Amino acid sequence: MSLTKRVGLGVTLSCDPLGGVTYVVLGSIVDHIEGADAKTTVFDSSLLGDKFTTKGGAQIDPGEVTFTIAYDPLDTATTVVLTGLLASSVIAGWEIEYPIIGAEVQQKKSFVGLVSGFKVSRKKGAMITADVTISVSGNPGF
Amino acid sequence: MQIDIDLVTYLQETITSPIEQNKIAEDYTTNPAIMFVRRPSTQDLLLDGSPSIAETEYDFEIYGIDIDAVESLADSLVKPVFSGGLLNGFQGVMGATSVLASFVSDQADDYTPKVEQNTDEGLHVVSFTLRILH
Repeated sequence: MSLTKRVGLGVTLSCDPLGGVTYVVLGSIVDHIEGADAKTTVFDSSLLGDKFTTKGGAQIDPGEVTFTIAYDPLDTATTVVLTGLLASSVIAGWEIEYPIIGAEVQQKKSFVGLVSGFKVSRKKGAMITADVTISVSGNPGF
Repeated sequence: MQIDIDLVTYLQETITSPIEQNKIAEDYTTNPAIMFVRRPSTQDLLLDGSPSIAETEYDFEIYGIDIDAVESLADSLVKPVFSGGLLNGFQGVMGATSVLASFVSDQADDYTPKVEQNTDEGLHVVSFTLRILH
């Protein structure tokens, strides 16, 4: 399988607020979707006589997914969905879809997590946006 | 270069106006028309030397006597693909080229008066830059 080079245009993040797999695209994401920034808990397995420390891997923190949306208090497709999830702390279903390149089958990656951060930025002369954080629960599905 | 041919073919599927690369037809009675020139084109390489993403930029000019026709033709090119345009935000197959993304920027208008005396008829020009990742 040869490597397919990809760019970010056309990548979508979808959400099922009920935690299932009936995803609806969040249409107002501005620019980028970062994460999940998974990180393994590394423990030190060295013995006293070891010159070099030895290490092992324990649990993996799936980390967080962050992205920025165009904020509109009346936008029921994105803003209201996300603020509702923030208030309820419900574990929702999420899916990232990549644009189809050539004749390939569309690539999708799904995970579950709760909305744990929502920060609105209001600036004079700029579109009002909100930074959203999802704390991923379980496998982030890279 | 293949992408030049693919780009012209792609535009000609929808647009009937003349499309020329690198030159303006001397007889510009058929207008509005499109002229484009390739600007810096960069083929990125991965560390092992295999090709990564190529980035090609074009300068576009749409020119004609009738300002409405020129602006309308320009609009059909620069409008987001999402809204029915042809270039801004296009991704997918363009002939033999797999376009990963294309972006329109720096759209501007200009007016070129004729040098002939006793006439105020000149050419309206819309110019913009097209950046294609492929």
